[in-house]
Amino acid sequence: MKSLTSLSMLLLAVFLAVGTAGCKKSPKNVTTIEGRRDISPRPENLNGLKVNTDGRNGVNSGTPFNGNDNVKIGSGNLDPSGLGSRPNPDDVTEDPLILASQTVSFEYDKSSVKSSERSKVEAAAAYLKNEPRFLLKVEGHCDERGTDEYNRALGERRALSIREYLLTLGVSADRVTTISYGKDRPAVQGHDEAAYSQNRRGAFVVLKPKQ
Amino acid sequence: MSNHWTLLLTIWVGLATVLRAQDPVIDISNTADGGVKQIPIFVAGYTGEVGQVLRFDLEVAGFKIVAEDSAQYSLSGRNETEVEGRLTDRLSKASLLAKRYTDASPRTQAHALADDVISAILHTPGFCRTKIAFKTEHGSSGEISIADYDGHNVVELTKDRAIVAAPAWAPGRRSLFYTSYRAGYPDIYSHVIATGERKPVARYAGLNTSAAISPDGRRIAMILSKAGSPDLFVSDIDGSNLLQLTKTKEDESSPCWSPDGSKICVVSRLSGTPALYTVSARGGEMTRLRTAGVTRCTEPDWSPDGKTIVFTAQMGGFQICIVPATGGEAKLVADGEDPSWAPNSRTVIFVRRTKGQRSLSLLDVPTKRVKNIPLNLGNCSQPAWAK
Repeated sequence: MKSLTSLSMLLLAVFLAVGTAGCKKSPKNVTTIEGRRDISPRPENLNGLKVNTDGRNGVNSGTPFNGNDNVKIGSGNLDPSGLGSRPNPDDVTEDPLILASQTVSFEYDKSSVKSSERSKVEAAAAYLKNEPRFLLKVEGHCDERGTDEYNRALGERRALSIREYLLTLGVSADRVTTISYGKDRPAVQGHDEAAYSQNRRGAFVVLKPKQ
Repeated sequence: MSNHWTLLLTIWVGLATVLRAQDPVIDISNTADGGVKQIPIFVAGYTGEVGQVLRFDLEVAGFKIVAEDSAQYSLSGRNETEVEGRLTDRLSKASLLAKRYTDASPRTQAHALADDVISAILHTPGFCRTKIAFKTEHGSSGEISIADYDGHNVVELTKDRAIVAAPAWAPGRRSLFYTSYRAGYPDIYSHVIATGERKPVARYAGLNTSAAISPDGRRIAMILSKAGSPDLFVSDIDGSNLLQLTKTKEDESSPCWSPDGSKICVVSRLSGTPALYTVSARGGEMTRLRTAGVTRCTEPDWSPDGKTIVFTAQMGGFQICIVPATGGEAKLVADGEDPSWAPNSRTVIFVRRTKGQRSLSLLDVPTKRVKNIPLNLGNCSQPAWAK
């Protein structure tokens, strides 16, 4: 009887501790602020293309966008828009085919470029070196097993990983743009790993200036 | 010895009652699947659309329409001209309300009566005249729509034939914020519903998505990748005074505000799989939110009463789960994804997949009862309940 009471008290104590602890515990998995690759600031001109500082044409807005880029980070440093600016879609034609064979494949829930996929990014970099007028849009995609906004962010992280690698290969930061489609644009329909593995991808779209 | 047992039993029962979801003041015995029982109500005298609306509203609210002699409450009335209703407690014989509704359409009158029945019995505000926003898909693009909570009176707000995502209400329901690729890339816009006036709020290079408006309407949380990875940012409601709240190497997504505006709950993949974290809205460390029993947690929404976070767990399929806002044991409550709380902190709208198509459904969390919203608009997803 005595040991049963002690056991009950122990269980109760555990139950209470589990039920009420929550955030009062010392935080686990707290993110440390790590340095990220230093990405060059937004340029004013992009290979001779006119760059709208407010993004692009055709956006029907009542009040012009202020484009305020003052980002406070901790000590209050200004963070230049690390990703450069986007080419105006009206100024380029898109060629999604020319580097289609270099579509990069990703692991489930991962955004890093596998060593087995690096040669594809290297091929894209080589292509860009040969075509100094052209720009690149890297699309990030996911399979259907993630929810919508999670996949939109993961797709973007995949595109950014490819972009990061391109920069290490000497491609100029102002030539590479990213876009995520989350799971909105699967490459193949299907609900098995064969389909999923084809949909977890980074695709290269070459942007050719119209004039 | 027996004193110890009595004490233990008392503490155990007390904890069990406190930890249970919010219950109305009636029978709280559990059903077989752990849900609370629906409240049996008899409804008589209503015809046509009014009758349908009343029944739908009451069923969503956690009632079960039954025969008179099985009912705890009786709602009787008519709707030949205006909607009238009398609500009595069949056990105590007390008259709980007797009202006639004027002006507005019969549908609205029926919703108003349902709201009053809900208030009288559950002692919480009704939700039957509230609004939702959601995305409808048309092939490879979509539009943002708003509707009554039950899917009626749909108004398509956009006509861009672009990819759209993540509609979010500003408090007061005058404006909607959403992501649109209409200009070629994912940007966040604000949209005044009455006038159609639309302004870009975030149009940085990379990703701009997942807008969430603070409860006081003054700030917006969003996911921007402008600094090299999708991170949580907060700015003033017009996009100025941008503050970066997370700086992780992996992506964050789906922020939501605590009802007092002090914290944001956000998904991060920094541990390798998506999990929920909270961070002060003014900046600081991210703290993991414990969701014991489930993994791969996304799409959180914080209940207006501050107590519960509802979210989607991606464990094979998608499952709606709830967890105390301070973290703890997570509980599966329905199959589906992308939940959004009603203002009553009890009802949740979410997305269900049936026969390959995505549709909107309503979940009463305590009873676990699910009712589909018949919309016939093709794939509908990403619902947001105006609060």
